[in-house]
Amino acid sequence: MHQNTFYCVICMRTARNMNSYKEILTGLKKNDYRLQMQFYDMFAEITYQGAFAILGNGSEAEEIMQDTMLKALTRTSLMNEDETQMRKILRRIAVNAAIDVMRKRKSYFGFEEIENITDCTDEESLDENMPTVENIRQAIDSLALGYRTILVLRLFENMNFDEISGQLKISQATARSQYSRALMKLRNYLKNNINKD
Amino acid sequence: MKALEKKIQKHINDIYDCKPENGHRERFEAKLSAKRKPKYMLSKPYLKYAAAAIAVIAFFVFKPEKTDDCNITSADINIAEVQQYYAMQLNDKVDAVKDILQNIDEQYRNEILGDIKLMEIDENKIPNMLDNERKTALIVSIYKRKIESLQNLQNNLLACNK
Repeated sequence: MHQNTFYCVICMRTARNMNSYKEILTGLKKNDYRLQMQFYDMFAEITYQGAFAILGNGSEAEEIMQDTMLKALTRTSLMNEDETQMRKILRRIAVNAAIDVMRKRKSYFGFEEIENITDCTDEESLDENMPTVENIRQAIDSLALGYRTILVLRLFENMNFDEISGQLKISQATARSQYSRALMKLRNYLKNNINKD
Repeated sequence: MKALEKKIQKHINDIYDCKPENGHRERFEAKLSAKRKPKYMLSKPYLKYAAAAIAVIAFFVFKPEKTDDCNITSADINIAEVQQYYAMQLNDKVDAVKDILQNIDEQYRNEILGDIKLMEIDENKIPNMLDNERKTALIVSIYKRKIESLQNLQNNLLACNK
């Protein structure tokens, strides 16, 4: 359900001076430059955010976003009549591309298999402290890339553990345990951070 | 689901409400224009064919060895005939492509003509150790590849001219 709201970030702004999605699709088939740019304006942000959430790096995310858009514009088979579906498709392509980039990094899974992480923050105390959105963002950014990825795929992309294990080529059990560890680390960070504040 | 997960999901839109850096649209426009160029005019794909032709030539460096006049055998004459026959076919194909090139954008025309020229002046070498049958087969193969590359180039040029 949250996904709908997430995807709704899309541009109310696009209403102004822009053709309807249907018109854009028709124009794309004719290789209409203006409509190609409108298509870009419509989906660039959501696609960028998908890649950025995984990589946490603006320039890499932009590269992936633009490659994704070019891919969509040059392969009509990727086009979808439904705008929401199109958003999901583009975002998924970007997320997958970001995972590929991440996988190429040697130490992408900084999973600490034997590490003892103690969950020193219980849920109630966290609730009382109410971390802000900024706190949460900082906490996610502080995670190792592997943890961050699992967290993003689970919470932002709403993937189940089966999908996550497929995407990251790890077992389902590892995906589950790493997700729990990621959450623990997040809580620890938030606790420390909030306490400092 | 625990409180933290709920909270994250509740604020998912805000957590990564980030935008690409300024100038991203312009950067994309540049990429898009580069990608679109082939559809506006005759373009890069043909260069690929020309480049492929050159690569083939460069790969099989083929040059008839100088032979002493007194030692010319009938086999050498046969090889020369084969080579001459295919060279003529190649020339015809080059002329046909050059005719079509008159209609295309100057920049691409010059690039393709440059590639064709390289192909024409390229020297071919056939290893001496080969027997005559293999030499002939190699000559035929080299010319056929060149002609095939030019044929592909010609087809694409014609398709874009329609």
